[in-house]
Amino acid sequence: MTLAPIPDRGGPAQPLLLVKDLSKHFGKSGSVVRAVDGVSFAIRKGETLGIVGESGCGKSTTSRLIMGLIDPTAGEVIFDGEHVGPGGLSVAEFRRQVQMVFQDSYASLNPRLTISESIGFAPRVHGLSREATNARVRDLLAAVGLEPDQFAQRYPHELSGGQRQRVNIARALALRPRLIILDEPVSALDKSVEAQVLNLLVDLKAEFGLSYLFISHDLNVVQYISDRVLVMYLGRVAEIGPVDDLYAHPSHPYTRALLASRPSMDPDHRRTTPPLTGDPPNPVNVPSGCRFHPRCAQVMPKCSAAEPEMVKINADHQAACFLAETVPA
Amino acid sequence: MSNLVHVRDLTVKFVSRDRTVHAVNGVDFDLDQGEVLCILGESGSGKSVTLRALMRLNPPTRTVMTGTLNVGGQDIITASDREIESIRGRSVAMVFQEPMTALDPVFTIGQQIRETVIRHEGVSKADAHKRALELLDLVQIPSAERRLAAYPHELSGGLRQRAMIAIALSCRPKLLLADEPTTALDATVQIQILLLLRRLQRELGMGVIFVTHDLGVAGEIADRIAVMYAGRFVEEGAVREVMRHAKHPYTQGLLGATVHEGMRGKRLTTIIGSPPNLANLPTGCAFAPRCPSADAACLEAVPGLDGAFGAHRARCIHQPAEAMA
Repeated sequence: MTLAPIPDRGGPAQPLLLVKDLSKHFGKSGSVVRAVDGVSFAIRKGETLGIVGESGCGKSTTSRLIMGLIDPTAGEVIFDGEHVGPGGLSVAEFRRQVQMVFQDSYASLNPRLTISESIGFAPRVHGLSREATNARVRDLLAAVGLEPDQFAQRYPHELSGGQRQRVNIARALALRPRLIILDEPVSALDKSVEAQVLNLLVDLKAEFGLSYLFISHDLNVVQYISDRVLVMYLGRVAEIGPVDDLYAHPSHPYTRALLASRPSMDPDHRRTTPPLTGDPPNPVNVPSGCRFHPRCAQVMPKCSAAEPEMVKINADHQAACFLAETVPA
Repeated sequence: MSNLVHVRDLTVKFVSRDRTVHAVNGVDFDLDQGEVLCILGESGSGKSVTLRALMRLNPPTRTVMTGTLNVGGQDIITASDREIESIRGRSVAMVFQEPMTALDPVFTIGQQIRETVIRHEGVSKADAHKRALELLDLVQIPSAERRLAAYPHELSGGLRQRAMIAIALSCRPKLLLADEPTTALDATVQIQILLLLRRLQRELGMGVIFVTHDLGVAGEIADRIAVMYAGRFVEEGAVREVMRHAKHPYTQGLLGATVHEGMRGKRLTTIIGSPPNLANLPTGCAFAPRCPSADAACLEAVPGLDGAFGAHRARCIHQPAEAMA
């Protein structure tokens, strides 16, 4: 067994991952937290889809649902045309193709395994021989910029945060996956190290032909790395579109507020008024109608009565707002 | 002494049986009344230790401080514990990064504000309550009366941080210290807190020392920026000067590595390697091992800060040509 890269099945036009009406409700009747509530999107082959949103918007829960780390309340995940779960793609096979990197680089490594053992664990489980595993571990360490002779036998506590995150990325690559879910992979790193890891992610994507689902609260980082961006608010998709279009012409008032909350980077043109007041609401009591209406500057009577449908702004750009308008092509 | 804060050659060491960590290695600065200084640095640069030194909050048994450290005319290093206690909260107050751990979970917000006011100003409970209401109003917490009766866990992250600012301001401090107060907050809340701090600073005329790792945050709030690396200020100057004409290679590297608009598709410039071990500092420039323009001269001695006190200056013997532009 060699664990070769998995061949493409449906051709380039078929989305690599389709998420359909995914929901996760925590708790019993009475105080149900609708962490994710009817989220649908696609990840195309070779693209990076960024998900942004504030704490409690459901972005991390979405990633855990896709990975099957928690069971969805409703909804379906389709990988390269095949339903994931009983009767379709098995979880073991799915996890070979989809891997994940978490924010906390230390908590995601077993402290009692050496770096080499951590990276080689999954290939061994999937039946790769000891020699082949060792060779792969060395290749992977080199690919993420860590000298194999120097790092293979170390333990996680002997590494810096940036080095540990490189190890986590190497481990995610060990089974030659096609999709990597990156959940806030650079948020815990210092700026100079963050830039190193972002450059590495761009290189690895080209080298291994990967697709990324990149989750972050940092709008600048998401803009830098993504091809398309999905904005989440309280468990729902607020807006989705190509990165340049969405950042230049945000159609949802929440997206506009998020973008306007970024520091100006210009001491002569500082922000003068906060775009939003208050905190993101608690997902236990979601507002009626449009979930954003209590904080929205352009709220109308109908916003609290009905939930807006996704409006197509152009071929690839959609927003869930009554004020969003289709732009004629 | 006219400066609110006067620091000369401050060093802070943490001494234990097996090793000595040199966290702060000779920091000089002055802060005037009504001025905002941002100390910018990455983890382990000594920025928080410097801030804590100003209130003598570093662990007393292991910390060795030398140099001059005056706050409001009071010598912090030699002051007795009693004197320090009366300074803390009255003339100097601190806002921490994580309000959930900085606030006491078993007392209401109102009790925590009243305690501070009564302790320092000796007023009655009723007057302290009135003051608490004013403070919540000042930090723009709605339905103040109800929020005073709330425990920290009952508030959202943004409200908790506002409550902590209210406690810090309760005795009208002359100096407010802020240790990454917006780092744990969401983007839309972060900008609210930054604008609030900026307004309060101006209205109350406080001096503020604000520690952050985020250049964007510093750009929103600072009058002056000091960039810290391995326990020293490697560059300092007015916010515009430092952000637009950085002199030190480390500051330039940080600016290049900070992702902002218009960088899509371009390769990010990075600073190779990682910061030095503070238990074993190099003899020369601490940044030399990571510096693209380092040579043998850099390893001989720690470069001094060129230029006059208060001017835009950097601790580098090879100031790159861009700085002249």
